[in-house]
Amino acid sequence: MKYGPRQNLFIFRNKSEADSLDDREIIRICLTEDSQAFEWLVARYRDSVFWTAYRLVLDYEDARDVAQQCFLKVWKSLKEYDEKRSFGGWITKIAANCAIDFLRSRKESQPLSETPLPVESADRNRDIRKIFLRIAPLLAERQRVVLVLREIEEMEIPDIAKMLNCTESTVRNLLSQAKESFRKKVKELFPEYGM
Amino acid sequence: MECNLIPAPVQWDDATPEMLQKYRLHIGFCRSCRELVLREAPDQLLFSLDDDALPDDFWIGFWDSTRKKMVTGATGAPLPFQVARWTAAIALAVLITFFGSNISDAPFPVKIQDFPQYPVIEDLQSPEARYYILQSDQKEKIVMLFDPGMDL
Repeated sequence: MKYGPRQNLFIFRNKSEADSLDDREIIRICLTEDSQAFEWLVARYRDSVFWTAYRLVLDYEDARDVAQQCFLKVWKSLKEYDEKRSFGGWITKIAANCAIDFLRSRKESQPLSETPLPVESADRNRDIRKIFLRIAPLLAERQRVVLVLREIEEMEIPDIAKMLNCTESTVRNLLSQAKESFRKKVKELFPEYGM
Repeated sequence: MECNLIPAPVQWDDATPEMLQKYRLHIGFCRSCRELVLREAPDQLLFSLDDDALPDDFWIGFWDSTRKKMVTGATGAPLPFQVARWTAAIALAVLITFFGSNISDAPFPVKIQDFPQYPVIEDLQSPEARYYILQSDQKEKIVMLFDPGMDL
């Protein structure tokens, strides 16, 4: 299905119409250089991109900047997107890469902001969210990155190794160390969950 | 594990993706197992962290700023260290090639009396002080002063 500029105007007259389109359809419209259509992709993925970035850089403002870099990269690389693959998975990898680049460029790790984000999470996840936010800054950076990419973003070990320019066995070691540290620190800092 | 339907969470690392999916589904409705996972291997619950929607206020200006950068082609990304290092090295090489060739001689020591027009030099009496001049043409001179006794 092809879209001309006039059809785009019709399609994006309101949000619900854009919501009814799947990612691939919106991407096809974006590829006609319609940056307005890209806004809907940004609106659709900004939260997940932000959280991926935030869990890696651990700073709200930095995560917002990383999210923007991610969308700019996506905009530039849209032609390379393989429609057979999930767009969500593709954009998550780009976000993770941007965050890793950011961490490399950041000379000193900054402390986690004390200001909580105004989000309401489900009761079921409140504990693990609280634990993650407390423990993540205490882990070594590479351990944290591997833990986040594997356990939260559910990326494959070879993909993580490629992102970090290291071997798969290094990633496995880092993951194992990260999990061990995570468990130890939870027992130390959250005795209420202890045996 | 009270219900015995899934293995101890510390063993989940060895599970196949299908089995892991099954365990995760189980703790979605079995409260006692979830509590046990939280106690024994809380890292196994990280998968359940949601990408909660942030309030619209948080995103004010985000799209406008992104669109501007899309138009100008700016990435907003910091220059990677390797790129910055090579850029600096190349820039230095270019400067030396173009400006270095115009310098008639390498720096050479000079005497104070050679520069009576520089009162600052005349005022200094330190015997250890050394002066150098860089002269690219007849009009411009750069005088460098090295004095270990100088109190800055």
